[in-house]
Amino acid sequence: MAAGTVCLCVRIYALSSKIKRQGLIIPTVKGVESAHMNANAKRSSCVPSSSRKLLTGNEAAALGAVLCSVEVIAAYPITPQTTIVETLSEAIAKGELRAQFMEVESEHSALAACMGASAVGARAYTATSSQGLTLMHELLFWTAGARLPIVMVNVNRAVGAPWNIWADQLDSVAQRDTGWMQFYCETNQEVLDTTIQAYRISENVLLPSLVVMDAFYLSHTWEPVYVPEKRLVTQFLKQSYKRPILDVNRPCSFGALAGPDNYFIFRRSMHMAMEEALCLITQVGTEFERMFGRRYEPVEEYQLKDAHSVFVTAGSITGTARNVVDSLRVEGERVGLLKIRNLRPFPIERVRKALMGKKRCAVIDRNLSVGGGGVFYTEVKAALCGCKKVPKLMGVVAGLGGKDVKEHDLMKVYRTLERDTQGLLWLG
Amino acid sequence: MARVTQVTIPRQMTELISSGHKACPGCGGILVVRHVLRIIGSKTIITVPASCLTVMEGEYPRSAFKLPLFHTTIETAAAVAAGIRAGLRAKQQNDIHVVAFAGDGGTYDIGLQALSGAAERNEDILYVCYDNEAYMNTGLQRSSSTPYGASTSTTSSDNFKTQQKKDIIQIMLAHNIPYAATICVSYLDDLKMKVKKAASIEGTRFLLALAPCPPGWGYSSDRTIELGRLAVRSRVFPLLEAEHDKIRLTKRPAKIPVSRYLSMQNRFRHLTDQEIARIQENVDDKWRNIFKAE
Amino acid sequence: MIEIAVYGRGGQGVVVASHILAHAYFLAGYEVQAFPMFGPERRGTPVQAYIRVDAKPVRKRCHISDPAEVILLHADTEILKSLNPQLVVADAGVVLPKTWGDKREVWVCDGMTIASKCHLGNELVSVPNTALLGAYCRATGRLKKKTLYEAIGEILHKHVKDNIKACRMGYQKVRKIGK
Repeated sequence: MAAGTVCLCVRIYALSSKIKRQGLIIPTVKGVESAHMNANAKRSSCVPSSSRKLLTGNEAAALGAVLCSVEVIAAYPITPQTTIVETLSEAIAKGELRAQFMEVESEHSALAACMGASAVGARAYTATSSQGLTLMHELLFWTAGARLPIVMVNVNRAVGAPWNIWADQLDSVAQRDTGWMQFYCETNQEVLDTTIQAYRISENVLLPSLVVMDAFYLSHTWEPVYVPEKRLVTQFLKQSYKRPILDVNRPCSFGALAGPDNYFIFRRSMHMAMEEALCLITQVGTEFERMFGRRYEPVEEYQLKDAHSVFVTAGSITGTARNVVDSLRVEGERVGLLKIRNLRPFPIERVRKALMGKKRCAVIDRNLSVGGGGVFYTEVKAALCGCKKVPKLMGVVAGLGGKDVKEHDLMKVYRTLERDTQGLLWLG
Repeated sequence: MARVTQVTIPRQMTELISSGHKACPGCGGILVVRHVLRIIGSKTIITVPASCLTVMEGEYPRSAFKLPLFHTTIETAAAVAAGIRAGLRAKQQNDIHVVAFAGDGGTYDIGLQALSGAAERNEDILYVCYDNEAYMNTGLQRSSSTPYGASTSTTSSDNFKTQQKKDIIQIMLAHNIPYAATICVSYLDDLKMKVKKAASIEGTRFLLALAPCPPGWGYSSDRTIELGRLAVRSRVFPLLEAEHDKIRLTKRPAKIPVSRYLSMQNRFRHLTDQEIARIQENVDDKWRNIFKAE
Repeated sequence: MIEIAVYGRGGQGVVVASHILAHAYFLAGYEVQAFPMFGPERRGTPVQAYIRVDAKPVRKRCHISDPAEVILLHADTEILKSLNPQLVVADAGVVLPKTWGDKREVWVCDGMTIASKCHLGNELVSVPNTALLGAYCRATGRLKKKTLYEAIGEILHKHVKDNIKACRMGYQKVRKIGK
C-alpha cells in the first residue's frame, strides 16, 4: 500500500477523537463500522501541516494549477471539464493566482496558445475532455516533439458517436503514441498531487504531461483533499537549470525541417526522455513523500505479495477494487491488486516484476480499442510477453460510457477469473 | 528591356534574413518577410505555420532567420502567436513584437478559425499573410484565395476556378481590429509606412501582402516586382489601410487594364476576352466599393 | 458506511444540499464522499445527489442504488417504490408510496412554506434544501445544528442568514409520522 496512507491514518486518528467528543459514533443504520483508530498515530510527526478541504476532482485539479503558479492558461469549455476553468478564472479574479487567462475559440487553439506560451518560458496549463482532447490530437504530437513541458488535465469522457458525457478512458488512451506522459488518478488527492508532480517531471525531461481522471466519479465528486502550502509547492518545483526558449537575445528556432537522420535522432531522444521519466517519477515521488507525506509510483501493489489472483486497474475503479480485494481477503482468498498509474511511460519492468509468478490476472479496462481490446490489457500482455511464469490473462472491458462498475461486478470478475478464464470478458 | 524598376536596398545590419535561404528565385513571399522584419527590427519573435516559409528557413540545424522562430501546424499561427504574447506578458517582457507569417492557405482556409478567434479577442499580435493565391508549398493547388479564372494543379485551364477570391480584408475588418492593410513589395515606401504604423499599434494587426510566385503563377522570376506593380496599377490588388473600420486607399496609380496584369501569367493564359472582361468588371466594382467606403 | 440520497428537481438546490450535508459531516470529523447524479442538469428535471459517510476514507466509486437514508425535496412516487430506505425525511408535498408501509422512520417537514417564508427562491420556485437539511439534522440526531449552520456558511456565498433561518425552522417544525 502506498505510504500515502500513513497520513490518512493519522488524520483519522485525530478526527475520530473529535467524533467521540461530539458523541457521534455513526452506526445507527446498516452496520456502519465504528471510528477507525490507527495504532500508527505516532508517525504524525513526519506529516507537514496542510489544510484539508472538501473538493471535487475538478476543484482539486484547478487548485493544483494554482499551487503550481501556472502563468498562462488557455482553455475551451467542455462537459465535464468546465468547472476546472471556472475555478481557475475565479482564482485569478480573487487574486489567488496571477496568470494570463485565454478564453480561446477551440481546444485546438487552446493547446496552440499553450505551446506559444511555453515556448517563451512560461508555465502553461490547459484542461479538456473527450472531443476536446481528440481535437487536440495533432497538436499533442507537436507539443511533445517541440519538447514543451505543458501540463494538461483531461477528464476521461467517452468519445462519440453517439453522444455520451460519462466516464470512459478512450479519449486519453487514444493519445498514447503522441509523446505525452499519462498519469491515471484514483482519487481527487492524487489529481492535485499529480498535477504538482507532473510539472516537476515535465520540466525536467521536457515532455508534456496528461493528468487524467474519470468523469464524474472524480471530476464531480466531493471528497476530502489535503491541500499543501503554496510555499512548499514552489520550493518543490524550483528549477535548477534553464530550458531552451524563444529568446530575442539568443535566437533559435523550434520545430524546423529535419531530414530523416535528424528526425530519427529527435524521436529516439524523446523515447530516452520517457525512459528517464520513468525513473524520475519514482524519484520525484520519494521527494514528494518527504515533503508532503504521500507517495505515488508508476505502479502500486496492493495485497499483492502472496496473491494468486490479481486485479489490474487504472483510474477510479481502483478504489472499488481495493474494497473487493479486502472483502475477498476476509473470505480467505489470495487476491491482490496492481494499480497502473502511467500508461506512458509504461512501467514494463515494474509490471513484469509484480505479475510474474502469479496464477491469474484480470486487467480491467474502462476503455476499448475497437478490434483490439482494452488498452491496458494489451499493454500488460505485451509487457509479459517472453517472460517466464506468466499468469493466465483475462481482459475485462468494463464501465464504458459511464456504465457503473459496482463491487459485485468485480466479484463476478473474480469468480470468472478463478475458472482460469482467458481472453476478453465483457462486463455488461 | 527595362523590366525591373531599379530600387536600391542597402544591405544593413538590420537584415534579419541571411542569404542561402531556400526560397525559389524571384519569390515574393520571402521578400515580404525580409522587408517586414527589416522594419520591425530584431526584438521580434515569429511563428510560421506550415507553408513555403517552413522550407525557406532551411533544414535543421541551419536557419536563415536571425530571429527566434516557432514553427507550428498549418492552422495555428494566430493562436500560437497569441500564446507567445501571453507568455511574454507573464514573463513581463513587454517590448517584444510577436509576428505570425502565414500563407494564404493557413490564413484564408484552414487557419481562419484561429485567426478569427485571435482577432475577436484582439490579441496583441501582428499577423502577416503572404498571399501567393494557392497552396504553393504542396505544388499549386487551389485555395479560397485563388482568383477567378486562375488555373492551378486542381483547377486546370479547361476547368479553371470559377469562384471569386475570398475578401479576407473585409472579414478581418468585420472583427473590428485596430489595423488592417494590404502591402506589396513593389511599393516599399508604402510598405514601410504601414509596417511602422502596424508595429506602433496594440491589438490585432493584419497585413495582407501580395506575394507573386514565379513557378505558381507562371512568369519569369526576374519580373516579380514588375508583376506586383501591375497588380496594384490594374487595381487587382489595391493598396489600402483601415484603422478600425475607416478604410482608405494609400496608392491611386493611373489605371491600366487588368489584361496587362493577367497576360503576364501562365495561370490566366487560357482566358477568353469575355472572361477577362468579366474580371475587369469585378475589379472595377471592388474599387468603386472601396472608394465609396472611404 | 451510510449512504444517503437527496431527491428533488433542478432548481431546488439538490446538489448544493448534498454538498452542505457532506461538508457538515466532514466538519464533524467523518470521511465523506458526495456527488450528483451524473448527467446533464436542466431546470425542472428530476435531480438526485448522493453522500457516503464513513469513519474510514471512502474508497469505492460507483453509484448508490440502495440509500439507507433519503431526503426528499420532490420525488416521483413510482420512483420511490424501488427504494428501501430506513430513514425518510420528506417535504410535505411528497406523496410517499403506500408499499413502504410503516416499517421505516419517516419525518415530514413543510420545506416549501419555510423556504418562501425565508425568501429563498422566487415566486416560481422555492428552494427548500436547507429547511430539509434542518429536518434531517433533527431526525438523525447525528449532527449538531451548529455544525450544519457552519457548513451552510462555508458553502453558500449568499443568503446565508436566510438559509440558516430556514434550516433552524426545518429543525423545529419537522414531525415524525412513521414508526
